Amino acid sequence: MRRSIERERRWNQQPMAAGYLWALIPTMLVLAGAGVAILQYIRKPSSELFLLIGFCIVIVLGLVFMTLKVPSYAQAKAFYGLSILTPLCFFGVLGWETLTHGRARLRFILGALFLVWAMNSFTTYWIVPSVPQHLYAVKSLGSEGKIDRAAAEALKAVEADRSNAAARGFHALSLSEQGHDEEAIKEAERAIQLNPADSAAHLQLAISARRSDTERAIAEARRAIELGRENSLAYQLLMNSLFESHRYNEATELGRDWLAVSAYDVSAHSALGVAMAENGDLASAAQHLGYVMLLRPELEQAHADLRRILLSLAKEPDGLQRLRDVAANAPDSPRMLDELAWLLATYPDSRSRDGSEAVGLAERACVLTERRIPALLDTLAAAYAEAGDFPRAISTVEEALNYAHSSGDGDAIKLSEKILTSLREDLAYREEPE
Amino acid sequence: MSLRLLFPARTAFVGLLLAAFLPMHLYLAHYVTNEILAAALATAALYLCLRLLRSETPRASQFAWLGLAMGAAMLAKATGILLLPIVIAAIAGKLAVTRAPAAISLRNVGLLLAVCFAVCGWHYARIWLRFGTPLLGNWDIVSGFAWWQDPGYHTMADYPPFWPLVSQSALQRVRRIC
Repeated sequence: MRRSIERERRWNQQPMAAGYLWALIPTMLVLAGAGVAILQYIRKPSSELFLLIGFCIVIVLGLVFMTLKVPSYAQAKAFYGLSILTPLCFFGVLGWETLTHGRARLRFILGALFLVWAMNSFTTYWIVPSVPQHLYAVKSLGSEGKIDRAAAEALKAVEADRSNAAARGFHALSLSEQGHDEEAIKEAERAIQLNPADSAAHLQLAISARRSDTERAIAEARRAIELGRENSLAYQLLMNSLFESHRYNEATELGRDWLAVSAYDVSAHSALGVAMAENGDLASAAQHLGYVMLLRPELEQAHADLRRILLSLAKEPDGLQRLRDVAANAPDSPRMLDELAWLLATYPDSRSRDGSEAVGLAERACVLTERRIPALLDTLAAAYAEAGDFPRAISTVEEALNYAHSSGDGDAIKLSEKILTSLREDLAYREEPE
Repeated sequence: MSLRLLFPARTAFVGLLLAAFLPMHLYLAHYVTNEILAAALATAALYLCLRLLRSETPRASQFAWLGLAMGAAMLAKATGILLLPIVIAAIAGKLAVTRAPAAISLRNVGLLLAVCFAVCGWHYARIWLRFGTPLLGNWDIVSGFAWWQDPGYHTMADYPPFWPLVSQSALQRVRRIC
């Protein structure tokens, strides 16, 4: 565990931890200064104080608003307030002046503590050549596809500490990426010898063995999961290996275990969806792909898979009931709701159409996107027409056409015009799915 | 520089140390990001505004430079827009207190706004045309960003239902005291 933490850290964590305590000194100065500034402003208002205090207040209110608007842990970032550096420093100086005025001894003590804080801050973010630094470079270079440079950094990490399992493991990965599978396996085995309980080391061996020995890769990936229940990459590798071996039942079980650990993991939903589709459980597969669309609406492959599955369901003899079942459990993904509504409204076979169900789904999709996406408005128009409400269908498609024109969306313009032409002939829109 | 306008040099040095060694500053310096640029431009705008506020008879060029810095800050990051109302209010207050001629004051503030919007207006106009709003947050679905938050973290919508309860219990407490 200690080694895995060591592998991940980027900054010097000991001074960073101490920094929270040292930061009490400047914090005290800033708070004291802010209090004094407010008192000064109350006693004798001035434009300068109004500017500095006012800007601080506006930024703080902005941060509160953002935190409530986007309730994400990512909001807790100090640099969102970086633009109030001048007011902060002004308060700090004012606090310093107020507290140390005429008190030479206190000035000396506070000055010394302040300098220690400053040096501590600097050393916290000072990057020293070390195994974690080389490994950070390996990961960054690797993610940019610069494999040769990543391999060179991995070698440097090994040379810096030959008994470091993480360094060996990343070196194994870089060898594997370069196609040196045998050397990669040996290096990954050394990493496991150095730290047998390291989930990452077993994953690295699994990756190294994947091309030459799928069964070993599967066994090592399973061991990696046993040792690290939240090792998402191990799940991913194991899932891919099971797919390659056409072991879809095992893949489905694995996908459920994966989701139990990481309920919001897009890869888990996507893999489980594919495994379920291969096992013939199309309705459940559609639901998981719907979650993929909810979490990452831009993933075109998942969208194409979802469309294919919904179409297969529509073609079945009890297609309408199957689509209704999917709709009943559909997540709040505008793209999924839109796909379902489109099929229910425009599918050529009347046995798979349901206008009122389509209207409900399309309206929900439009509400979620604040009626700003022309394609979703087109679906809503088609659904209204299928439900027999032609006046609303025409006004909706006209709304879609306006948005499509203003955003220059050529495809949406064509679709809106086709729907409008059909509606003007008092015909609900029909389209043969591709 | 801003602190030198407000404090003696030796005292202002404390502020310089605070800015230079602020952890978020040092941390961000390792990355390529618009945050540092936005902060630098906001700081420049504040400095220019402080200089303007301390001038007995501010020149038109001072307003133009301030507009340029603010426009650039708003171009670097949308939060720069928060500077605008405060800067305008501070300048308006100063002009009112010094009883500056209304026509000249309006011309100067107009110049500030014109330069500011000339620098950044095209960007906000483009967003407006493309998305139907000049201010697009990354929480807006049309921005293309998707985010997910585990349960346990509250949004604005979660709070209003509690206000009646809060006010009711406060009322009961008051009644009990009475």
